[in-house]
Formats: sequence, C-alpha cells, structure tokens
Amino acid sequence: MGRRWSNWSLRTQLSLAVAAIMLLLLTLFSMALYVSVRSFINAQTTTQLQLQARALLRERADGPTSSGSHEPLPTAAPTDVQRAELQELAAALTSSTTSVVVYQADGTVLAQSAPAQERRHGWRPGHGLRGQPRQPPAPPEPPAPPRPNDQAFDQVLRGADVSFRDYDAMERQLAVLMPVYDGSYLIGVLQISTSLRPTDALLRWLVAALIGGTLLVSLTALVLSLWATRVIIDPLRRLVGVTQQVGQGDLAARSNLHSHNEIGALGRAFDQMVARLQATFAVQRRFIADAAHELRTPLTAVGGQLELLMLGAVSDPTQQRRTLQRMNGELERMGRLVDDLLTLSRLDARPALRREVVDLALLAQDVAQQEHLPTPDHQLTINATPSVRVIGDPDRLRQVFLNVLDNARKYTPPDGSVRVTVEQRAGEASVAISDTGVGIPADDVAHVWDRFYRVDQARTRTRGGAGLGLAIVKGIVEAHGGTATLTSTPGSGTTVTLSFPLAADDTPTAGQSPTASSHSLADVGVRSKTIVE
Amino acid sequence: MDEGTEGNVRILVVDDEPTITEFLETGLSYEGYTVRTVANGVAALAVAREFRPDLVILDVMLPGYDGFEVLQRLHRQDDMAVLMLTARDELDDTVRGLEVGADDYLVKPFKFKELLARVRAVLRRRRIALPHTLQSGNLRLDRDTRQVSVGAETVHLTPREFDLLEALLAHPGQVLTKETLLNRVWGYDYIGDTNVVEVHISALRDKIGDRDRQRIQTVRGVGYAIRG
Repeated sequence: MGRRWSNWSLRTQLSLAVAAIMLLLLTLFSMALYVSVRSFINAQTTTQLQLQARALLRERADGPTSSGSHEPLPTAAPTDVQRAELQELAAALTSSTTSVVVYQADGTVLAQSAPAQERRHGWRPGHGLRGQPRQPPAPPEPPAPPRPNDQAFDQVLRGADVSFRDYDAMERQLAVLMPVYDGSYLIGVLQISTSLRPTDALLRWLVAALIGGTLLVSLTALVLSLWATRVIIDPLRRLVGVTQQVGQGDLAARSNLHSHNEIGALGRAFDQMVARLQATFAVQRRFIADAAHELRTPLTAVGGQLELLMLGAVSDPTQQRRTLQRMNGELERMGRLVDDLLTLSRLDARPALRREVVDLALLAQDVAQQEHLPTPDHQLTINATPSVRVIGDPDRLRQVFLNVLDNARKYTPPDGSVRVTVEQRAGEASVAISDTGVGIPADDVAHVWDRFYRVDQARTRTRGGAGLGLAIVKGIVEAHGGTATLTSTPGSGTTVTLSFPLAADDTPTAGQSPTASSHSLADVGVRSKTIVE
Repeated sequence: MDEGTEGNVRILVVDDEPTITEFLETGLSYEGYTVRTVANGVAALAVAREFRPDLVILDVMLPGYDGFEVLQRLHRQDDMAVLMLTARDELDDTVRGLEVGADDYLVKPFKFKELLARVRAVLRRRRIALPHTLQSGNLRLDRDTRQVSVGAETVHLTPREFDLLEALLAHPGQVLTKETLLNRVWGYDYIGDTNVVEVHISALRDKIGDRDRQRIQTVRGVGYAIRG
C-alpha cells in the first residue's frame, strides 16, 4: 500500500488526502450532531411529559410533588375516592400520544389509560366513518405501556421523578415516573409514557441526511481538490520537464514561472541557477576552446617541422639545427601555456597562500633586476616609499610583477620608459606600473583581465602571449584580498594599479621572503638605465 | 592544359606565425613549388598583386585584415585558389570560409602530407598546371593513370615501386635518404628494416631496365638519386 501510495501522483495524493480529511471531519461532526439532537429531543419529550403530568397533579395535589429526600417516603393505600381521582387523572392525562399507568406503592396497577387508537378515532369494530358497515384494515396494536424496573420504581418512592426508555418489539417508548401524594403520604406512582416513533423517524432521517451529505461533500471536495491541485501542480510539472531538459544538456531551457507564490519563487530561482550554470559552462567551453586554440598553433609548427625532417626536406645540418631550435622554442611556449593554465586552475581552487611579510618596493626592484624587465633599452624608474609591506605569497606576488612588467616590455617601444610607484595610499599598499607604450583602445580596457583576451584579436605572436598574463595577475591580487585596475590612453601608455591590504606595523618580519626582505633599496644594484628615486 | 612542374606553381603563404610560415615555405619549396610568405593581410594583398600566386594558403586570424576579409579582397583582385588555415574548428568558421569563396579549409594542427594533398587537389580542381607526368630521359611516369613507360614500352610496377619512383622523379638529381624514402612511401609509422628500400629499388631497377644503375644511382651511405 505504501509503495502504491508513493507511486501515485502528488495531485492524486493531495486530492485523496483532502477528501479523506473532509470525510473524517464531517463524520465526526455528524455523529456529534446526531447525539446532540437525540439527547435534545429526548430531554424535550421528557420535560413535556413531566409538565403535562405536573400540571394535573398540582390541581389535585395536597402534598409535595417531590420530597427531595433520599429516604423512602411514607406510603398509604389510596382510598376509594383517591382511586377514583387517580383513575380520572389517568384518563385526563391520556392522549393520542400518551399512555398513563398509576401504580400503588407496592407496584400493583391502580389505574391505566384506554388504548390510544380507540379513543383517538372513536373507532369500533364493524363501523365505518360514515356509519356504513365495512371491514376496515386491522389497526396496529398500540404497544403496552412500559414497565419500570425496580430501581427506577424505588427512586420514585423516594420522591424523585424518573424517566426511562423502553423497547418492545414494535417501537421505543419514553416513560416518566412521578410520585403522587396525598398530604405527606405517597399514595401512588404516576407513569406517563409516549411513543418515540416520530422521534426515531426524525433521527433516522437525520442519520440518512448526514451520511448522504457527508459523502456528497467529501466527493465534491475530492473533485474540487483534483481541479485545484492541478492548477497548483501544473507549474511544478513544467518545472520537472524543464529540469529534465536541463539534465539532458539543454541549458537554454527555462521554466518562465512568473507567479508571485512559492512555486513562482522556486521557478525564478531555478531559472537563475540554470542561467548561471549556462554562463559558467559557456566560460568553461570558451576557456577550453581558447586553450586548445593556443596549443594548436605550436603543435602544428612542431609537427610540421618534424614531418619535414622525416621527409628529408631539411637536409642541411645548419638548417636542421635551426629547425630543432624552433621546435624546442615551440615546446617551451606550450610548456609556458600549460604552466599558465595550471596557475589559473590552482587560483580557481582558492588555494591557501603562503603568508609572509613582503616588501613590495624591494620585490619590484628585485624582479626588474633579476629578470631584466622591461629590457635594458627601456628606462625603468622605481619610485618607492620604504617599507610598504603586505602579507602574502612572495612567489605569487613576484609573478604579478613579472607579468605586468613583461607586458610593459612587449608594448613599449625600446626608447620608452616604465615607471613603478610603490606607496601607501588610503591605508593600502599601492603599486602603479606605468609605461609609455602603445596603449589599449577604450573598448578593450574592460576585457584585458579576461582569460585569453588579447587586444590584438589576430593573436599575433610577434608580441603577445596567450592572453593569460593579466588574468593571472588579477587572480593572484584578488587571492591576496587586493584589487587590480588598468587605465590606458592609446598612443600614450598604460597604467596598471594594484592595491593590497597593508601588513600591520607590528607584524614580525621573521620568515619573510629572502627575495623581498633581505635587501634594502640601497643594496639592490641599479642597472644602467634604472633610476631609483 | 599546359604541362608543367611544381616550380611553375606559385603559392603565397599568409600567416602571422613565423614558425608556421617557415615550415610551410621549407616543405612546399622542397616539393617544388615557388613560395612566398607574408605575416599580415595588408602585405598579402600587396604581394598577391605582384607575385600573382596560383594558390594562397591563408590563416584566418591575422593582424590587420582577418583571413575572411583578405579572402574577399583577394577575390576582387583575381580569382585565385585559396586554402584557409585556422586554429579554430568551429563549424561556423568553416562554413563562413567556404561561403566567402575558399576552395578548402584546414584546421590546425594538420599533417604536412595532408596539406600537400589538399594543395594538389585544389590545384587540380582549379585546372592549374600541375605536372601530371614526371619524366627523366625516356622514363615517363603518369600520376593520373599511374602508368610508367620506358620509351614506348609500358612497365608494370607495384604500388610501392610506383611511389618510390615518383618520389625520386619529383626531386631529380637530389639525393633522397633511405629514411626519407621510407617516410614518404611507407609512412612515418613504418617500423622495420631500411633494407626494404634497397629491395624495392633493386626490383624497380630491373623493371625499368636500369641494370647498370645509371638511372637510379646509389650514393653510398646516404641514399638514392635519379639522374637524367
């Protein structure tokens, strides 16, 4: 059953649940209503009988109608006059719906009303309504008055009014027992009873109406729930369909749910998630395509040159040596590209960086001197405030300077100049590397940090690399909690500005990079065209 | 159609990658074509006017004009055959290249042999004079019918012998090493003894009546050369 239930659609489950709850609540309500109505009618009937009897008893009563005591009252046998009065009383109380029996205190019947049917219709055997003799249908025999049990009778002898219900073969009757007094003596017990047939008929109708109503309402609830849940669940079904589409690789699929409820919010969140996934995959695909593209050209060159060697097209030893050197150069280029790709991949994984104190001025000077950047033909000026220190990975930060200075070298004419400014600005360590190179068109400036983006879309090898240098710079700077910006004027030059959080003044210098910490500006040898201000 | 040699066919290589242009120049020159190389689209248009190439091998990503732009401008000058090279393998690029008039499209990395085959196919389609026959004295080899004759007599060669003779005739007077012949005829992936070349050369000599080894000469310790 559990499995079958779980196999049903959510719509069926919800609808059945609503219908079942409705059925349960209406059943409980109907039962409560039935019990209440039955109790109410019984109480009303009992009160009615009591009022009728009490009214007549008061007319003749010369004693209490109720002792209120729990002790048996003194009893006396009724006199003949009293017997006659009690018989009249019985006759007076008898009606078309009531029967009366008067008992003596010992339980013997003192007086009893005539059969109700006979009195009501004045019917006699053998006479029709118009006095014409005819054979009428046999009337139903009225039920015999109920007989009280001993316990109820004893309670009446103690002065209490008692009601009880009695069942015979034909119908239910309700009887009320009341003591009859003469002065201080109880001379009899009056039993007035009435048939509960009309009441029972009403209750049976009520039961039928409640059962029918409950079933009808539950069925209606089921139908309405099926409709309502369909309206609610249709967007979910659409979402399921779109999810399957996305799962099959269609990242352009969208749910387009615009409702302002929770399902609409789910749909919008889903669409946003898929849009982000699509963008991420597009970037990844582009990245892989660009990486493949960058590798294809050196692969072609190496493969082609190797092929020529094998074909014997390059037979001169000097030419062969040159070919091998070119192949080696292409392999080194592929190696650098793979290194750059690995660096970016590691930066994407947000690795834990070494945390050492690095003096940026010393690092800039060190890189310029050791790597001969930009070139001996460029005039390099390093304008540095002493002790601009940051916490970071010296090797990574060194790569930042290498990449930016290498770009300056590539795009600055030999007689141009490169200026590196290291200072504290607005509570941060600021490095600005400016060149007097060819500059970057305004449309390209926003994209220079993108992977594989090159201002020269032809990706010419005469100057440019793979277009990963600045992407690596940005990745490393951001990994250090810094920012990287670039401004450029075509024809005038470019300035790359890097900002890092400053190291605290009391940061111990122990363990800092030898490259960065073991020299002072004065110690660093100054190349022929390098000016340290 | 005029008969000719590869040396009559001029090929302009346009690529900004020096390593690519150099190896293409070396390889195509070795195959007998007359080759010029340029590194950008503007130069390509200028050189094409003066050099009047039969075929242009054109890279798509070029500084200045890109390959598609150069192709359109070249076609405005002359309806020359164009084989495009690209490192991008997007279908759109291929379709665009062919739609703007390229005769063929080759994606990097490619084998030089494949490039050579495509160059020949393009030139054939364009009915540009190609040496359909190679000749040395009365020895004649027809590339199209793959028939060889000595004087008026037809010689029946196996495919290997035919390819071997074709390689030698394509470079008359030039000494081809055994390794070169192995690579050209048996392929780069051939693993085996170089004696197979000697065996086939011997059989070839017998079939073309070169018992005195004057036509196919042995350069001891190096390889073989065909002499007129």
